[in-house]
Amino acid sequence: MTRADAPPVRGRTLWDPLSAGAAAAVGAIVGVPTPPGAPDVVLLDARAVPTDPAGLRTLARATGPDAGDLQVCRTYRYPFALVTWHEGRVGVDLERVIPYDRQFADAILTPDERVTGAVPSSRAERDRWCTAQWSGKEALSKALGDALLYDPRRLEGPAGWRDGRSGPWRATELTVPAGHVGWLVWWAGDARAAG
Amino acid sequence: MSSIDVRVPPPATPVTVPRGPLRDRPGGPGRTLLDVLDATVDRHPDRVAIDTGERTRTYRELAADVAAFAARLREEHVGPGDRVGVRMRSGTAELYVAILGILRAGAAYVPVDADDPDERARTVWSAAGVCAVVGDPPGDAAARPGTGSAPTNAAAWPPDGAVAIAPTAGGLLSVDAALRAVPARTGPPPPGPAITPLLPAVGDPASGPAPDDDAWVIFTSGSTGAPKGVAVSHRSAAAFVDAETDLWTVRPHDRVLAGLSVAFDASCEEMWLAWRSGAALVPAPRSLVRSGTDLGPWLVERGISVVSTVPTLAAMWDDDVLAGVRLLILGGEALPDDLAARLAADREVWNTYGPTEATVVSTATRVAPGRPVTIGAPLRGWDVAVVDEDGLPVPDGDAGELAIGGVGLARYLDPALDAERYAPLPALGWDRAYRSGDLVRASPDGLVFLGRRDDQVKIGGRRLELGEVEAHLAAAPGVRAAAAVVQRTPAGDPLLVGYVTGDPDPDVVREHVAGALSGGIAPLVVVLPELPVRTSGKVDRRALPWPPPHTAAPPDVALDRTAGWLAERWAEQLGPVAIGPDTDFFGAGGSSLSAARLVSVLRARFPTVAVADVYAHRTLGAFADRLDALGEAHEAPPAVLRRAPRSWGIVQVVGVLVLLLIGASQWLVGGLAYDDVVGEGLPHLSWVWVIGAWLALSSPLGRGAVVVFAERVLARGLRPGTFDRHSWLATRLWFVSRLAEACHVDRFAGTPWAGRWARVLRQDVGVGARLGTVPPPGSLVTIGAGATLESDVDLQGWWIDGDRLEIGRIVIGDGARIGARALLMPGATVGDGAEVEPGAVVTGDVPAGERWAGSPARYVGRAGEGWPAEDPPRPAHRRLWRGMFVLGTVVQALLPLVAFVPAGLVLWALGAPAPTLHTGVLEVALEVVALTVVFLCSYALLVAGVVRLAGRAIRPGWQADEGATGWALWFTEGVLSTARVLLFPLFASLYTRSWLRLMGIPVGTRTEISTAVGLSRLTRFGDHAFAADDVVLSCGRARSGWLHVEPIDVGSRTFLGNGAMLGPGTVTGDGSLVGVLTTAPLSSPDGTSWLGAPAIELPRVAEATDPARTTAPPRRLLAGRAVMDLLRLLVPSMVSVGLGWAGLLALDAVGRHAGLVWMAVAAAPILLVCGVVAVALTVAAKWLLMGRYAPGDHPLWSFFVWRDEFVNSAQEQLAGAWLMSSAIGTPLMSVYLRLLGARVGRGVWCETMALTEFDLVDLGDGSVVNRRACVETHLFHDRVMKIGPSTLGRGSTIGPGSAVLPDTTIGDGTTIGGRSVVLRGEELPAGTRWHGAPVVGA
Repeated sequence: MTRADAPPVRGRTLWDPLSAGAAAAVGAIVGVPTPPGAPDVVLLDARAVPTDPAGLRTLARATGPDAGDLQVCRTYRYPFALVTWHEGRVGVDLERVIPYDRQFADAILTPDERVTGAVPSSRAERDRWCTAQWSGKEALSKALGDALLYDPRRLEGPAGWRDGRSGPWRATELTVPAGHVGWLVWWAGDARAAG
Repeated sequence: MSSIDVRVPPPATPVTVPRGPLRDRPGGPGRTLLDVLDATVDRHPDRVAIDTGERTRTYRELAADVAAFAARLREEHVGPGDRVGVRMRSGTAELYVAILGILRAGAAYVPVDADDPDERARTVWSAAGVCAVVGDPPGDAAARPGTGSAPTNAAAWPPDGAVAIAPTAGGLLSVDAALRAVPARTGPPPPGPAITPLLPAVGDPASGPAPDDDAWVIFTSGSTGAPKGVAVSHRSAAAFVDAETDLWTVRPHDRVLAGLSVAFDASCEEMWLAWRSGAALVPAPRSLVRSGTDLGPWLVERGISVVSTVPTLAAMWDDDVLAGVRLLILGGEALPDDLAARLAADREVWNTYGPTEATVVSTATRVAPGRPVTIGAPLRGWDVAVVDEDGLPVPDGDAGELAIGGVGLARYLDPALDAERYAPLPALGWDRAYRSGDLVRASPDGLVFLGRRDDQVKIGGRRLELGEVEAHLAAAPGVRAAAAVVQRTPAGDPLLVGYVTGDPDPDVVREHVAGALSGGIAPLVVVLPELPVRTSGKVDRRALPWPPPHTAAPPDVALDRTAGWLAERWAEQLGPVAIGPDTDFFGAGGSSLSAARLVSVLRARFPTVAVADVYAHRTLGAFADRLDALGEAHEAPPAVLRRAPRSWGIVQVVGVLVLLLIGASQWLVGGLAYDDVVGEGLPHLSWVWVIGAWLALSSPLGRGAVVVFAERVLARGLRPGTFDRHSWLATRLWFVSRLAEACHVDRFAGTPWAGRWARVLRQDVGVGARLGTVPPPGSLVTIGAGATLESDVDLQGWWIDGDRLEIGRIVIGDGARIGARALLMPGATVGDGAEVEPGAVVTGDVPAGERWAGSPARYVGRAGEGWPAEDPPRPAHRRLWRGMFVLGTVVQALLPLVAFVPAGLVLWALGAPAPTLHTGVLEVALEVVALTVVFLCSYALLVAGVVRLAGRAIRPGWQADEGATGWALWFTEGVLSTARVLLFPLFASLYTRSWLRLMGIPVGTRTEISTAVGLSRLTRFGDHAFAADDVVLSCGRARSGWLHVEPIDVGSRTFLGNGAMLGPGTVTGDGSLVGVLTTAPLSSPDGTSWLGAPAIELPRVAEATDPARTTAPPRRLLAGRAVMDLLRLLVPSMVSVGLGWAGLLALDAVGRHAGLVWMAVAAAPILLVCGVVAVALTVAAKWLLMGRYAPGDHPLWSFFVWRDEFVNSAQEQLAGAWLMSSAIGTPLMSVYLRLLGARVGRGVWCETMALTEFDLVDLGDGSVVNRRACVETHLFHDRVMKIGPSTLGRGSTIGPGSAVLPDTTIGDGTTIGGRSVVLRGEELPAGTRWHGAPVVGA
């Protein structure tokens, strides 16, 4: 996605809470389209600054709200980073598409997903499908709070959620640069109960 | 030209770019290379032009030979506008004569290196449309590897494509032969390499080239793999040659190295450095150039004074071999600072930059030691600009792409490509510009080369410039030359590899680069004797060895077997990085993704390893230790398992009979009492004897004495250790355990005198211990003074693990607290004052003063956190409440008997006499029906009444444990626990909610509650909730005399799985789920799902279900279920009562005809017969109602589910109650399960009745299901019964209290630890060990 076709960021004024350093790099930050009610997500492109991975992290850390009651989640795949924030729990993940590997797929899919998940036939789609499964689970585990607690084989990935819903959780796949996949998972229930 | 003018843009308009000064175009209309050559020939006719070592040619001789060869070409009608291919060995004078001859003929030469494959020659010449090719003589060609004796050009022909090929009959003509043939070309052409005319030449042989004619067409290797032809005009070439004279001076006495392939445009610089100035061009043999290092001495030997080469090659030469070189021109690669400093110390060094597309060199700068290396400023006639993606100049100092304009612009043969890559730059007013693809930024010292845009690589998600990496590599200590490339690991991941030469320490180099690169990225460092180079002199990256000659751990680090193997697996993910025991996986570039991929590979050998292990054990050494602890997959059990001796099975069956006899004693006493009341035929036994018999055989004291006696005899000398499962010891322990259960020795648990009772049972219990659980006989338990044990703690201290019987001592320290349903495995030790939370599984030591929780238990805090520091208040009326415990015990025991009173009254009121041997069958049947109905109703009402009444004493808050609340909780649970047996079908029925409401327990509409434990008025259920079997709602917790009680709220539509535990104060949100054996979080938001101990949130996708079959059934389904539940409640109970009555009458008959002694002898066999009949009826009910179970989904409100519940009730109330509860763990259990359709192998130890959909149960030979374990074949999530098979492999083991969910497969020889959960659909490999809820590798 280029800056030209990036949609405007919805909701709050994006740049108000940004630090001066991040604002200087405004050209490197674009909004990522998300469904109504979903948290805001911005894509940072280090090539547009340009900056190195450390600079990208600095930029990402400076991007987002300064209000203390919002939760912020960031993910990095140089030269890109995604930043999102939300009143409740939220997780975002960005992955570079990796080659499909049956052994790896078996290591990250639940028994149901292994049975019901239709593995695409074309190589490119299969690569993307498998990476998206992982990315969705990564985003979900981040939103849940402690990714280390979760064995991906036991975590029903949001890629399999009907209409991107699971109880109070919502998820959507993000439109990210070619060769990558990204997922956003957020808490849509009572923010006070979100933990 | 050592600096570049930088125009500082005005702040308001940051669009201009730094650029070199626009210099004057070369004067006039331009000239050709021949003009350059002719001028030199005129000035220095007798100086050596070419010196091959074998022969020299002066400029005069060279000019003559060139003219002669050009004439020969012209004979073939080659002239201006033509292109002629050249493919000759390097290092020969003929090569240069051919090139110049082609130029002299007016054509452009199209070089292909002699070492390039034929395919490339074919491709290049086809694309260029050459009309002729000049090659080596056949004899010379033979010397070239791979070409045999065929002429050079012949090997490459015919080229593919549309080029018409017209080889002459004369074949090939060498340059030498051509020269000889020029005077009078008659007769057949001389043998040897030749000009091969291919196409009709179109040029005018009579004229020479014009400035705008092409001088050469050189093909570059595109990133896409397709060579791109670049045509350079004489004007551009001559401008380049002339412009370089502005930079440095080459004198006639200089000797210029010609080491580069003529297929590489930098060779033009070599040639014309010499020929522009009258110096000697000295070709180097290709073999020397290829080796690089060996070329150094040759330079000395041949007196080379001017060298134009690439930094990689120059880095290979020591200072002494460069001593004679006074001018060194570098280009083609990034020049590292250190190398520049070394080389420039003693000579004139220039760094040049230029793409082929802009005629060899576009910018240059003099290198000075101590100054940053740049690529300088543009040559005279060249323009440069730094632009962004849109072609706009970037602000001063910013990075951008280098765009080149001016006289040096060449052109692509492909017009479309030419239009694309030489597009105008309107922002600069350039009609034509070449976008180099190189990233630069302007600095006061000149343009700084940042790398190729397409040289950017991604490593670990970070983008790097290979040029930057190479620069840092080359700057590392001991490195002479370096190249960085991205290789692929065997796992397919990109890996940054730095190849270096010299004498470096790889670790030092690695650290050096890691410290210099952002993000700490460190390449794998591979030290090579020399770097392979291409004909261009550049590093041949494709020839860099991969995998490298040596990998894995540093040689001084010895890795043991597992660590060494693991290092290789790491290398597959991270690349073969230097890996030592202390290497951190994530520090070495690992990511969460690579961790998951690593684990997917490790599981082939260590099936129990989890992703979390990578995070918990980050270094190689620690992770290897973890793998060793987990253990490899063992080999599957032998094909023929060791079978248990048949004798032990027989002994167990005898033991079952003894257990029946124990039960019969109570029954016998009851029979005698009944006969005393009815007075029908039996020898009258005074009530003194009846009561005496009850005291001896059926009272708690009497049964306690029996158990103590049995334990002292059978468990004598019991000690911790590992023993054979098929042993007399195992049989004895089994019997003592069953006997203790049959005698209900735990009946005083929770009372103030439980500790004393335990000591009566010869248990080691300290003073002041509060026991909600009485240690079972046959266990090695020590309980410290003042310790608190909540209810239902598993203290057995032994279990069957495969073929082994594991026995261990359990030690609970003074003042420790053990929560409800905790499992202390053999050998567990709980330190003084420590706390073990409810549901925890302790396998080792819990240190004093610590608080542990979870399965397996782990440290969660300090003991006593959340408890009052002071002693509890002394309860008011303490003696009263102690007396209430006595009263409560009596009430609990008598309540079922009391419930028979209304039944008797009803019968009496109806005028029905008490049945005797003379009573007719029909009459007895009617009386049984009436008795059962009235008994069930009265007992249910009695239970509800006393629970409601006692429940009013339950108050939330902190209080002493021996007060009203403690008593009420104990009493009501005692009453309900008996009710769960006698009124089993009333649970999970349509009537449950009303019944519980009668007890004062708030239950919402349509809520389903099965055999939940701990129900009280403080446990509240919302609407449409669901509590599966054996859910524990523990409103209270106790410690050191304190009792803390809080209500429990279960939200509407919330599902509680089997064995789920909810502690005091728990509030589950609406629509949430608490999984099997899960310890619910204190507070769970609406709609959340939780699993495990401790619970983690695990979002799930709820099934889309039909409300009419799950939550909002229509009337007809309500009516149907009401009938089915009524039948389920009454029929098994009636059959059971009828069986009891029949047995009693049979016993009566034996006594009347044979006397009391035979009556006592016959009691056990009669009970056994009743038991067999009960089993037969249960089996019949299963097959009649259910047939064979099959996997599938069935909603709650379906006939299938109701029938299934009926069979379960029959199992509990008939088969279980009459026989099988005494036979668990014996071969009889296997027979029973087989009758019900289960697949049960030989030698199975099944110590549970918790099996339901029998046809889907597969217990392999020798498998073990320990006490209270559950082999689930269905789940009820979303009110849909999902049925699936559960398979236990041969020799596998399910630990105490564990649950295996449907659709699981436990591999052969695999062991699941205590109170663990194998989740639905999981397959555990053979020979592995697992533990936890959910299971992880143990």
